[in-house]
Amino acid sequence: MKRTLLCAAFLAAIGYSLSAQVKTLQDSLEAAYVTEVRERAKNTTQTGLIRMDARELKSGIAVFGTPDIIKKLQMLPGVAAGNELMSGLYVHGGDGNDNLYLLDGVPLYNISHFGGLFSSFNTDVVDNLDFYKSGFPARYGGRLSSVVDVETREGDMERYHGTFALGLIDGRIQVEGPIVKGKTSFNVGLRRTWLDVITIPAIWYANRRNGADKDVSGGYSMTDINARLTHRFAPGNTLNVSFYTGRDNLRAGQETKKHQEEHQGTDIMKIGVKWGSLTASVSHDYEYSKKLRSKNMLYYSQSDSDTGYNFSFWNWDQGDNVTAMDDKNTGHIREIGLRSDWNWLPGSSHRVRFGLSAQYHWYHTSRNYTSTTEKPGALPEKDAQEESIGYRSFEPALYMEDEIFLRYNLTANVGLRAALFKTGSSVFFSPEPRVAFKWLIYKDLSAKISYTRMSQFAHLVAAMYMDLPSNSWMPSTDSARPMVSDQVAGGLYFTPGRHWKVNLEGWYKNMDHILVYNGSNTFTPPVTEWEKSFTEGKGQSWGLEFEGGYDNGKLSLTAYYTLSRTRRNFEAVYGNWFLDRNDNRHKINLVASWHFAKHWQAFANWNFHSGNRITFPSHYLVNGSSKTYLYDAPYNHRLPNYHRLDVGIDYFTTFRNQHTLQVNLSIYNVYNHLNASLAMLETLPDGTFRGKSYGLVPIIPTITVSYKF
Amino acid sequence: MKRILHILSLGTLLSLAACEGSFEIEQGGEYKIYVQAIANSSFVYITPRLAAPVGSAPKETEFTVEAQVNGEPLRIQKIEREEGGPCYLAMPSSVLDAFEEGDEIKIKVSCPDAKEASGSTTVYSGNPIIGAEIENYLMFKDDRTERYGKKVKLILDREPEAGEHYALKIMIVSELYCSDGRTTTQIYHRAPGYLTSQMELTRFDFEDYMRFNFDETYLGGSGEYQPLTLLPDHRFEGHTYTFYLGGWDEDFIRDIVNNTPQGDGSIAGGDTPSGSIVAARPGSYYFTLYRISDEFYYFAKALYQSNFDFLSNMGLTPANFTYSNVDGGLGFVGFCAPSAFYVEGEYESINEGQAPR
Repeated sequence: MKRTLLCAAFLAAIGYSLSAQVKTLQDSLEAAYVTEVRERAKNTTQTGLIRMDARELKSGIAVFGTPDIIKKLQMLPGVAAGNELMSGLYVHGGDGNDNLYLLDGVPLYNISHFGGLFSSFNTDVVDNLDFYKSGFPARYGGRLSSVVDVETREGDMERYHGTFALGLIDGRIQVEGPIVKGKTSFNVGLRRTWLDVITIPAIWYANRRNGADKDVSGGYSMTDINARLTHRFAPGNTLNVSFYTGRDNLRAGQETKKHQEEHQGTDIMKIGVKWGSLTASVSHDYEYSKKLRSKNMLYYSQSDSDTGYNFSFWNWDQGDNVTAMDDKNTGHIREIGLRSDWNWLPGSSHRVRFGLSAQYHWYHTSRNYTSTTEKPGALPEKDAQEESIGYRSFEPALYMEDEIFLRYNLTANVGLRAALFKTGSSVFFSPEPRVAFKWLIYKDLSAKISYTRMSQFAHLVAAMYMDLPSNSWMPSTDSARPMVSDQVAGGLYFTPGRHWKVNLEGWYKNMDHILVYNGSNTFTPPVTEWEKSFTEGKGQSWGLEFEGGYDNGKLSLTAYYTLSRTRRNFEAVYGNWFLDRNDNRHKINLVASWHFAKHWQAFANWNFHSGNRITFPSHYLVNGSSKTYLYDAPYNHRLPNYHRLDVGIDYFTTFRNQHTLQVNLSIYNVYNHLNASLAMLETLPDGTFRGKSYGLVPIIPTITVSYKF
Repeated sequence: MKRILHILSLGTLLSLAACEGSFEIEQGGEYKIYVQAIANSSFVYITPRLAAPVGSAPKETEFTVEAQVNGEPLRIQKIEREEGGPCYLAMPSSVLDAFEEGDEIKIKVSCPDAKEASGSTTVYSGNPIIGAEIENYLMFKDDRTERYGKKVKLILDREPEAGEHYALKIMIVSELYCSDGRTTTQIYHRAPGYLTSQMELTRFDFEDYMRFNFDETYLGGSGEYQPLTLLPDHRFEGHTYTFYLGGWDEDFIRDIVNNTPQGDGSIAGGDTPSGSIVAARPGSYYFTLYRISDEFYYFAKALYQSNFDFLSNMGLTPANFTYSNVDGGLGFVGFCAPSAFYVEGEYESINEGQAPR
């Protein structure tokens, strides 16, 4: 008995000791992680770079049950979100269509589902993200305002595991594991909404109420599939195959039977919208030596849409005829590209990156309309309208950048990118210098400054500020020249003590040849001669960003503040500079997470920004009994300030088989503040005016259950 | 048509889904001078008004108007009008000193109640209409009736260059001649159309119909609708411009002629000629083509687009209806070079040999 007790005590002591060691190791790893996160901004040479890993991307509030990368980026300083809940990203005064989204190095042209409610990035498969707002390295190009470089995770080479999650309106499954242990792995993620399934009972009930003469149908679904296959030939010799496809499908229909005396006819209305993206790439990483390695990639990217409606009306009164209208709009951008990126360490004070890329683009948009009237005993009358436009363009680019360690505390990143763009007979050449300096003033404080020039050869043809499938991409032409931006940024990055960080960054950005839609107001943007519906102009933005944070591994508190000003000048719209629609002068984000118990973690975000700008009449003239309203400038008024609080709580538990159950409860807009999405001018009885705002997004609670196996 | 449906359906959707609140907006700012100044080769027509800020009462004021061409002052003549306040003509001291291409015209308007407003424009050469071809086209046909419209091809002196802007005003004059020697005249102001049948409504494009009341532009307020239509560039073919007119106006006169008993003497009541209708001239066409400056074009386009300002107010479309090139004020200073062409209609004589000469 005594021996048994002694053995038990001995084993308990060892167990305690081991568990203490494991805990110490975990704590030190946690501390190292926290330190690494805290010091990222201080240690990189680039300004405006934010790095996030899978852990950061997956934690926090999940609106509709899905953690969303774009909604996380929207909270960062220097970024305006545009319309609430949408996937808008207006970086340093940008236009939202000037961000380069890369998924495993492949450009993605459409990053949103359902008008922007969800982004295309499935956090279950994402490994890390680099988000550049300024100080763009020379290896990136083709967009004016930001780079969002998302890398998916290699599958686990040793064991199979995955995640299964059920959210309010979607479900996700992710599986990874070895195909050949230690050599080949896969990582596959699938995400699908089931709004189409949820709405079946509602449609059934509606049809039951409608009776036999009316039949409605409809539904929406979104599907995302990410897949990555990795094969290691040898250490430093890896082949990756990546694939992504995201599809949206929206349909609605109604059939109404009509009776006239003994005759019967049917009115039919059908709407169908399909859109999505597809990317595929093969890349090979090879390490020639400790000093030289390369990554060569061949890829394909496509974004397409197919929207259409079909109306058919039975007109007994007009001679028993049936008029049918069929409208179909299709569009796509396709791109095939080659990249070759090289890393070379010629000495201890240089880190050289160089490479080239070549992209071939196909742009196409078409609209087909037919109208037919059929009458008994007469030939059908038919009218058809068809218009389409297509371009092919070639975009090669060369770059070289050198991270130079000038002194022990002074680093420079000097680079040049030279891009060429050819569409038909139009050729544009864009040399783009990129320079960044970092001065480590002392171990906890660094200062940085950067200058970058970026150009963009693709234009989003959209008539509205909405992410509609009918929007299309078109290349730069002689009438719509490449857009250019020049940006200077600089800042101070301070890590006072173990748990604290304080960053202060400023920027000034100048944009030229940017476009604004100046055609008629419609959902369907122009097809042929699209350039005539756009006006070229200039943009300027400057601002100051502050980030202060405390993180001890359990409690993390971060405060972001942005003071900015963004303005535009479009001669044909207004003869002077005016403030931009997304000029959110002040922006504050407070982000907290607290691991308060073994199985519990709580989150909270408070978001505040000055309201978006809107155009209201500023003056009026009296003409007899009527008034003519005048506008002194575009976007001359500001909507009320935007603010909302989101909270969330995670419960997670690990079973004996090491499987984990996680339950996330997120509440978007806890205090149900209906922020103004739209506004109108209202005249009061005493002749004065006030704004009438319309809020569209109330409190949204969501529960998500995830099971990791 | 489909675009109208789209806009209506969106509006309905949003109004159903929205929860509304109200907020205060900045009111009671400065009074501003609103200027509309349109120059042609002979004079500048300037209509200043005092624009009241929203939330403040309108005010009457006295304006001082100055104008210069290439730095030389122009003679100002004030014209009082019944409605819309006074307007001013700025002219060279001699009618022989017409403005020439490249001349820079500057306008300055001041008043005691607002900041000074100024703007400038440049004189262009015109592009005269040198010919017009009008032919009938079958617009509608059923078992009983046939309706014909007019296909009009205007021939310009030269092919418009990229970046040039044009606007068109069309006046149709129908005349009835009666045996007492008096004439009744109907004047119609019409806009060019591009659709030849109802079926083609699917081709309707807002961009082709950027028109606004001609009189409003001049703030005359006569109440007569005189549409001035901005011509879309893509409708020009070389130095010709083709459009369609409905033909209703001529048919209306023909209907009167056909339905009026010979020698009845009463056509429409009121101040009408008496005696029998001896002849009719259903359609004489007056085309006025304006080559307009960028400022005029931008302003007119903005005026047209202001019909849809609610979409921008809702934050859905860019605010592209706010154009002004007046420093310190509102409105615009622009130039137009008009060119008129007259196509005399044919007499359709009722009583042979009595057609007026």
